[in-house]
Formats: sequence, structure tokens, C-alpha cells
Amino acid sequence: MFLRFLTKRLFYVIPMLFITTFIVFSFILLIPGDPALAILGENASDENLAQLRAQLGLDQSLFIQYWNWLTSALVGDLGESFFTGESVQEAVFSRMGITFQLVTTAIVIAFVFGTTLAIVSMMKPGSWIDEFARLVSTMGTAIPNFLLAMLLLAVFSLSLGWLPATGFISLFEDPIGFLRSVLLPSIALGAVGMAQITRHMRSALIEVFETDYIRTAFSKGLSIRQTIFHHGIRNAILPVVTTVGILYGNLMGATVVVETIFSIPGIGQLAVDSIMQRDFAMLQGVVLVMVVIIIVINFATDIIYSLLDPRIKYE
Amino acid sequence: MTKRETLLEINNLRAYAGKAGESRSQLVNGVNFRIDKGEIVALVGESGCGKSVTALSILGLNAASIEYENDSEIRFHEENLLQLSDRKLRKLRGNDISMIFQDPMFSLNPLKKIGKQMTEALLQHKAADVRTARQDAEKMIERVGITDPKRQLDNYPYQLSGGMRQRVMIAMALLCKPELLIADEPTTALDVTIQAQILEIMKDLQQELDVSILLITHDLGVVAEMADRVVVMYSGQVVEEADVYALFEQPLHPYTNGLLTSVPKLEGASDERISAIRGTVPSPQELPKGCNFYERCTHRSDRCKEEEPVLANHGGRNVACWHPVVEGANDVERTAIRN
Ligand SMILES: Nc1ncnc2c1ncn2[C@@H]1O[C@H](COP(=O)(O)OP(=O)(O)OP(=O)(O)O)[C@@H](O)[C@H]1O
Ligand code: SF4
Ligand SMILES: [Mg+2]
Repeated sequence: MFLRFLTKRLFYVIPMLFITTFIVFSFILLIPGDPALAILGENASDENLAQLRAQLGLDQSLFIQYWNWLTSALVGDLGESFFTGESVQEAVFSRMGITFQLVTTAIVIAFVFGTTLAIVSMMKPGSWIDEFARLVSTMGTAIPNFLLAMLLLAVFSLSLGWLPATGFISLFEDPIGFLRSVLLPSIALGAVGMAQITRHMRSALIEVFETDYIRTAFSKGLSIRQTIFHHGIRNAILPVVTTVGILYGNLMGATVVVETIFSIPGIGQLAVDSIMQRDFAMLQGVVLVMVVIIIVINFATDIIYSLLDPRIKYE
Repeated sequence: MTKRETLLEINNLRAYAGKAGESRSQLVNGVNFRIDKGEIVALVGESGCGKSVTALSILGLNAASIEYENDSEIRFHEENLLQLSDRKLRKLRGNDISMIFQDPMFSLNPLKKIGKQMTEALLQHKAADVRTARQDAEKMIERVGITDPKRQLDNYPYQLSGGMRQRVMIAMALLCKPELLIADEPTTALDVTIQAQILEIMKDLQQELDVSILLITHDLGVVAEMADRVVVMYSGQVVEEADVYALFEQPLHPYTNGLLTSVPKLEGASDERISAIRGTVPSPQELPKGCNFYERCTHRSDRCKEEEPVLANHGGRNVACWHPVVEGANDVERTAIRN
């Protein structure tokens, strides 16, 4: 049954991949500026430029270029950087790994704090935590993430010196170092998400509490706490799962700003550099990986949703 | 008939929506009635007359925005349930008094297995372990006519029909052997044939377990079939209270009379809702000075407009009316409704 679900999903995913990569390919070629010129510099002769263009395949038509890219991509070869000659897939994967760690940490922080705030504020309406949850959910969306990033950087790194201002250490090399390097950027990145999750979870809980089955739970003699934990949270988290899925995609996009401020060599920075250098091969690789990641996240969201809700079957 | 012991007594229940001092509407307006041990009392009346608010106030399950008058009282085992702490009230809920609701489609948690939901009250109130609780649950759902109980306990609510879910609700409510079961329109949302089955199950179990039932319903057919005694409510008040035979034989309140003449007859069970009396109920915000039924009454006089009738003894029965319908009054007068 699960296998059928999987094949059905792939059935949608594959054409989607073709279409998005083709669209992106066309758009990249529309970026003004000549890669050959960018590589060889202003003083290069026309002859040299033409030679390099031919070497990079840029003299061919859009479709042929796409076809060439696609056939190599299908066998796992995303080409080489126009600029440095390094392998695109290697660069993209190592950078993606960094961004993925950063974004996932941001999501975990947003989810854990967001849901907890919402639950506690539901248990103690009118308490300071309730007020705080309200504040977080309005402030979080109001502060732009670059501003928050700079604030955190100024306070916790530059003034207090508690945490490093720049750089990234992988979780797999040094977990403590990882946490120290990723804490501020992931808070800056996740704040909006935390606000959204708090708000959604709060309203979902309030909605759940108006249902008949909650009245049934109370009529059995359960306390508010038991009712929230046994009947409220799982039911209220369902819509929040969708929010988290969407958030993941959004943060993948928003990470550029935070990576730049904290000098984290993630995929966002790679994307910006490739655009600046007209490194189309690299850029195409970056976009492809982004699209794949977002598809995988959507897929995972659906699976988690169906695990939480018995009414949904893999069909 | 032997005099039975009183189980629950509601005295002068007044409930308001909104805080005292502010503009608030009176939803329940001095309700008095009692439920004896082992008895089925039907609470009937039009939609919005305050039946559910009355029933929910017994277990303290009304919305937090609903407030009660200080001298209102719901006596149960020497205690006033309206004054009970939340903690003590919780010990009662699902244990001494349990409740089932109108719509079985929504009254079970869609994400939890039936078995888990059923055993919750047992685990909460009786020092039962999960295994014995599950065995009890199995026995109970078998008793309400569900076959293959072991498998059904592992099902989710969506896998059961409405009738089955209501059976589950009944079984769940009776698991702790309560003294009182409050059933708020338990069959209104079900098909007619399923309704009959559910009522029969309730009646059987009621006799077997000797539980009292407060049965809220729109349906006079259900009343005739199930109830020992009937309490008739109109716009937040009890207007008549009588033994079921006496009531169907000779209703005393013009409202009850209107209800009875608007349904076929005692024998023919009807699922028709009470709505055949002309006119509308006054809104809780602007209740008239005199009798609430005045606008729609066929028996009214000037006195009714000025003075509010209270529930009083009339030939051994309770009725709140200045001019009760009397035995032998001609049928034309009883059925015709003047403007
Ligand atoms: N929480 C609440 N806040 C304000 N008004 C309420 C609240 N609950 C009920 N009411 C009002 O109180 C009145 C009585 O409601 P109640 O639910 O007791 O009626 P009912 O007799 O059970 O009707 P039905 O047969 O439709 O279930 C209605 O006018 C209703 O709108
Ligand atoms: S008191 Fe008067 S108006 Fe009210 S029901 Fe009786 S006869 Fe009718
Ligand atoms: Mg009701």
C-alpha cells in the first residue's frame, strides 16, 4: 500500500522536475551578462571569448543546451563550475548539507518553542506565558529576519562575546561547536516560523476545544491538563504539520540573508555567488537541489500527516 | 406506586450568559425538578428553551461564560453541584453521573482508538489497570449489541456508523456504573430505525443497571416510549411536570396541550420536532412581565399578561399556569389557537 503511494507520488514528481528545471534553465540564460566575459575579463579578445563560449556550450540553442545538461544530470553529472572548474554536484551537496543543518535547527527551535508556548498559554489563559505567547506571535512576524540577525549578532557575539559571530561547524564534526555556531543564525531564521507556529497552534487548540469530543473528554472527568495532552495536542498539531512543511521551503529561500550576515558557506551564499559570477552551471545545480529538497519535504509532510491521522490512507 | 428515593434535585436553577452587572440574558429561569433513583425523566421543549444548558449545568460543563444565581441548587448526595470545586466535580463526571450527546459523529475523538477512549473514565475513576479496563470495555460494548468487540476496540471512530458510535457512547457512559445518565437528544441525529434500537438498548441497560436517566428530547414519541415522568420546559422555565400517563391523558398547561395535539397520538411514535404551535418564543433578552407563553396561548387572560405564573400544585400535579386546561374542556377550545 505504501509502495503504491510512493509510485503514485513519483508519477507527479518526475514531470514536475523536468518542467521546473527547464523553466529555471531558460531564466538563467536570460540573466544579463556574458559568462565568458565574466571569466576572461574586459580585455579578452573576441576570438577567445567565442572559443570559451563554444567550450561552455553557450553558442548552442536553449533546447540543445538543456538537453545536454539534462542527459548528463540524469546520469548524475551536473557539470563543472564555469569559474573554478570544481564539480557542481560536490559543491552543491556540501553547501546544501550546511544549509540543511541550519534550516532544520531553525525549524526544530520554531516548532518546539512555538507549540510549547501555545500549549502552556492554553493551559493557563491570561497568565504571563499567555501574554508572552501573544507577544511572540505578533512580534515574530513583524521583525524582519536580517534585523533580528544583526541584533543578535551585535548583542550576543560582539558585545557579550558568548557566541561566535561567523562561521559554521558541522554537527557531525563537533556537536557542541555546531550548536554554538548555529544558535544565533537559526534563531534569526526561525523567529518568523516560531511566531507562525505559535499562532497556528494556539488557534488550532482553541478550535479543538470547541469540539464535541472535548466536551466528551471533560464529561469523563478528565482535567484540563489531561484533556489537552490526550485529546488536544495531536488533533491541533495536524494543521500545524502543514505549516511546518511550507515553512521549510520558505526558510530555504530566506536563508540567503542570514548566511550572508553570519558568513555561513551554505547554499544561499553559493546561489548568490553563482549569480554574481554568471556561473550558470553551478546555479542550475543549486536550483535543482532546492527543488528536489522541497519536493522531499512536501512528501515527508504528507507522510507525517497520514501517520498522525488514521483517517488518511495512502491512496 | 411506591415512593422512590430522590437522586438529584434541581432547585431554582437560574443561568445567565454573561457576567452579573453587565447586560446579560437569562437562559434558564428558575427551573425545579427532581430525578428519583431508577427513574427515566424526560425533559422536553422547543429548541432553545434551555434543556441543554440545564443538563450541562448538572456536571458543570456549560461554557465558562455561563453563570448561575447564588441560590440556585443542584442537590446530589447532600451536595450542591453548582458550588462544588472543580476537583470534586471531576470525580463525579463519568463516574457517578455521565453524559451522552446528540451527535455521535463528533462526540468521539477521531484520532483515538475506540478502546482507548472507552477505558479513559475507568482508568480515571476506578483503580483499574489497562488490561482489566479493556476487558470491562469489551464486555460493555458487547452488551450494547456490538459484535466482535475485541476488534472494534481497535478501530477508529470513522470506521463505525453513527448508530454504532452512539452505542459506543452509551457503553462508555455506563462503564463506571453511574447513578445517573444524562442523554441529551441521543437519537436526534440518527435514522428512525437506528433510533428505535438505541432507545431499546438504553431502556434495557437502564433496568439492568438500575441507573436513572435524564432524557432530553424533542420527540414526544420517544417520551411516550421511554419516560416515567416528564418535565416540560418553555423559554427557560418548567411549565409542567407530570407522570407520563397523566400527561398524555390530560395535559394541564396550554403549551403541553399544544404539543400533544400537534403530534398524531400516544401510540404512533413520531420523529416530528415540536414546532406546530403558532408564534415564536420570546427572546431571552426581552422576556415579558407576565407569562412567557402569553403571545401564543389559547387560554390567556389579562391576568396572564401582568402576573407571572409559578409552578404550583394543581390537583396533585405541577403546572405553571393561571388557567390550566381542564378535564372535559371541549376539543375545539383545546386545539384552536387564537392570535
Ligand atoms: N454558552 C452560551 N452563551 C450564550 N448563550 C447560550 C450559550 N449556550 C446556550 N445559549 C443560549 O441559551 C438558550 C438555551 O440553549 P439550550 O442549548 O439549552 O437549548 P436547548 O433547549 O437544548 O435547544 P436544542 O433543542 O436546540 O438543543 C439558547 O437561546 C442558546 O442560544
Ligand atoms: S398563564 Fe395564561 S398565558 Fe400563560 S399559559 Fe396559562 S393561560 Fe396561557
Ligand atoms: Mg440542546
